[in-house]
Amino acid sequence: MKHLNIRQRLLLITLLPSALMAIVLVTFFTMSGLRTLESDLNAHGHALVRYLAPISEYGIISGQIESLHVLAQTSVQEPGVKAAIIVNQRGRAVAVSGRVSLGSEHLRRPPQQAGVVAENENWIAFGAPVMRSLSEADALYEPITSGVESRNEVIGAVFVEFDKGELAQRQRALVLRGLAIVGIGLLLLAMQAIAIADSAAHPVRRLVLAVRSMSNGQFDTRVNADSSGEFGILERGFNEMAGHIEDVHASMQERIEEATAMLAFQARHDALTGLLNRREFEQRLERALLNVQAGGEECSVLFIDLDRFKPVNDTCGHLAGDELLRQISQLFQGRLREEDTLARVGGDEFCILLDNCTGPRARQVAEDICGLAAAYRFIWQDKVFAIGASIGLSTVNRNVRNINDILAAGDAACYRAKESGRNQFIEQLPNAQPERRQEANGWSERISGALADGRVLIEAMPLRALQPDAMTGHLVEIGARLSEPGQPSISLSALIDAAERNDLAPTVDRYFIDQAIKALVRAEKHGKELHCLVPISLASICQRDTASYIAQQLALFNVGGRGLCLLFSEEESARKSTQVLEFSRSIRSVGCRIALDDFGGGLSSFSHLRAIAPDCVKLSRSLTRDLNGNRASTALLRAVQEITSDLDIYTLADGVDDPAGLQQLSEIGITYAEGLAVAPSEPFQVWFEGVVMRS
Amino acid sequence: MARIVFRAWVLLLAFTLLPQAMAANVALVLSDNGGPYAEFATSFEEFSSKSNWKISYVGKIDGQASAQTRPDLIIAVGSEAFRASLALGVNTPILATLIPRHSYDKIFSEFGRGRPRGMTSAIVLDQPAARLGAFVRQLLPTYQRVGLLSSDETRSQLPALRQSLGGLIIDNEDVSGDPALLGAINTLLPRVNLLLALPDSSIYKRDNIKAILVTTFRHQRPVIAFSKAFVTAGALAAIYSTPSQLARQSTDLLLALPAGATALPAIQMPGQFAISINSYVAQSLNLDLPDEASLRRALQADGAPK
Repeated sequence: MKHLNIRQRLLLITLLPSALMAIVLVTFFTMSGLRTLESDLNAHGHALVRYLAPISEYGIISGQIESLHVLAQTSVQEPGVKAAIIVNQRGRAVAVSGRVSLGSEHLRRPPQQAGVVAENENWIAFGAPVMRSLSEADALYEPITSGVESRNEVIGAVFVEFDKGELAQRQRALVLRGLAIVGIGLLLLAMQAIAIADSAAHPVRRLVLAVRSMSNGQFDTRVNADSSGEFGILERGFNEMAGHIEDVHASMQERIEEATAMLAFQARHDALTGLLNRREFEQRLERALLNVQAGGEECSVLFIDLDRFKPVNDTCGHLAGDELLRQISQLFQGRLREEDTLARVGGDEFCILLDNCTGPRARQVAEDICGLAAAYRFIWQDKVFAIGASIGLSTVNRNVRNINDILAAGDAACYRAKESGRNQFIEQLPNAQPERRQEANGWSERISGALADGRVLIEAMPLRALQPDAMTGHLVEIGARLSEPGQPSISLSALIDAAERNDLAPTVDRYFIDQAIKALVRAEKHGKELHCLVPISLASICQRDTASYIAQQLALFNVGGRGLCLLFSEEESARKSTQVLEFSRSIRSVGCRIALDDFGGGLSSFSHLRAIAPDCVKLSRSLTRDLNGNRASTALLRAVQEITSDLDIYTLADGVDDPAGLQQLSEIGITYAEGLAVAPSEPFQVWFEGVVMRS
Repeated sequence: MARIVFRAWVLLLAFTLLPQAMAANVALVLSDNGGPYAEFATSFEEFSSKSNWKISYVGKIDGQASAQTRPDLIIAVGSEAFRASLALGVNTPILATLIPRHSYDKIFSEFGRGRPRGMTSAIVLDQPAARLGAFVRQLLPTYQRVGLLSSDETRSQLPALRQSLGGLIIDNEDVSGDPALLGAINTLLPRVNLLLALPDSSIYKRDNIKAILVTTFRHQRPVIAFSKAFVTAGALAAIYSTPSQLARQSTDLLLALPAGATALPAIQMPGQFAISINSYVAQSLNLDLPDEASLRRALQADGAPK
């Protein structure tokens, strides 16, 4: 039953009971028909002998054999009768007709009443006694028979034999008829059942096919809703459901496509800036390389690493850093053409692919980017940050094997640009294969090794007093350069940068301090007046023992702190104002002075003047750069000068390479100047011996 | 039957001791409680209502045999009653009735031997021969040859009969035993015009009547019989006396007895009679018969004794 489909079930349900019923009914009626036939035969036989017996009476009594013969023959002519026998009182057959099968023993023993006397499969014999009939008589004339009642006297018997062949034939005909009725009935029933099953199963089948097709993903499947009743409801319901499913599927598909598109976008873009990410950039670079290799125009790649980005993150948090990146990316994007590709490939690293652009044009773009980065000021709350961009420029030409060459060359060039003093670009061809920049974790050994070996060359940048009220004696700013064998020397800014990144800044600072104190001791011993501007990093300022170290050293060499002026960035002082104030106080207590570097770059500069009260400020180059003809700059410089002079703070302008500048600065009132116009930078020891000791 | 005998015996034993007083106490002994006997008793009682007889019954279910007086007369109704009465062996006069002559003679010769003369008499069933002859003549005037079957019972009646049936030719076939009966009939009938059945218990029995009638019908011979039952069974006609008629005759006989009479009169034949005709049989035999009333008139006019 479980494995049947609905059509077969319906057929079974309708056909089986009906078929069973029909078979049972026909069997019942056939059996009762057979019994009726038999009982008919019995009744016929009984009736025949019952009638035959009385009418034979007179013939037997009167011995009229002829009339008995006639009776017997008449009986045999009855349908089914095969023989008739009439016997007399002594059991002798007096009249016989037909083929007699009954044995003589039956004839000699007359039956007591009408009934079956013998039977086998072929024939059945009925018999009845012939009684002497009694008439109604007047009792008055009866003889006196003392108590003896006159009884019916048996005077003979009649026997009739029936052939069972005819009965069997009729029974066979009856059975055959029954079977035929069953057959025809079942045939009609089957046809009707098939019609019913089909009418019920067809809509179900259609629905099943539709459901199957739906589940195979054909959501536009519909069925003909032409059935009536429940099937109609089902079909319409299916169509409605299918419609809903199709709609839902379509909208879901749409959303999936949207999401896929978004994922694809996200996979190719940087979430923060919306620029392309590294992977996508590399793919585009790959395409560009293929294009170039296929004979297309050459193109250039700029590798940009932002300078001084880390302080922004460290000072104002990542939100500020993120904002800076967004702004700078928009700034860069504004400089580029439509066909150029700008991508953010790392934290503060960007790449630009310049299509069909090489040589001077590419260099111009790099220079412009540098200029944009240098001119850009990031303002966060009340703080202003200046950054820069170190750019490696590489060209994609046919000789490049793969993009890794380009990436390596660009990376190296960028590194070199950063090492060479930041905010500049260096060009390197991909196949030049320069040494890869050393990894950052090599710095600590390099620096400590260089300090130990004396390979950190202390440089002197002499200052010239432009005003008569300036301090007397020799003024010098101490710088340094890392000199390694077989390699170009590394500038102070790159050295400090690396030292800051590797927490070696205090070590470098102490080295400078030691050198400066050593020089001060020697100068004092020889009666020379020397003032050293020593740069000091924020890390050292934040270390409590830096001030005590300086005091110990001064005490150790028994020298006053007056000649020592510690120079630190105005930005740094703004970041860690508490520590800076504490440091300033401690330093001043041992007689040292304070100078602020890069003063005037930020808007908060003037507030620092009061808080820190430096002895000297080193003016930002942005103030002193365009003195010629730039009235605004000059006015700004004048304002700064006025304020500082009010506060008795010396001002120092660096990078003054033009002698005319000196005059101008002097007119404005700037206290000191340094630069090529004053004196070139030279090894401290050389300067000290040559200038200080010989004065 | 034994019960009847016993009761009668007890009754009569008591009576014998009493002095005779004729026609005062009448005991009615019936062969049976039903049928013709009851009819006879009812009629007898009715007819004798004017007399001062005291009637007691023997053989009736409510038999008032309690009469303490001895009967002066016993009326034995039917052959059995007659035999029982005789068997009592008392010297009370017995009048038998509803009994064929042959039966009377036979029973009397058996049981009544030695009874004083006049103490026993009867009114028999047998019709007088002259009446029979007249009846045949009136019924079937053209039929001359009358066939009879005789046996030991009836053979003795034949001479008287021949004498009485004037104008008719009597042909007789003697029958002895059943097997020969149909043969005798078949022999007789071709020779005669009709069969006249006389009361004969050895020939006309219940189990024979049908065969006899069928045979006569085959031969297209009418049967003139002696009882109504015979006519019903298929005989053409019968002349007979009813129990009521015989009761009347018995009453008359008793009333006619002189006071102090010591003997009963001789055996009488029925005075009154009845006629019965089976019209279906007449139709079958294609006979045109006079109706019963005119026959009666003709018979009475023929001078038959009443």
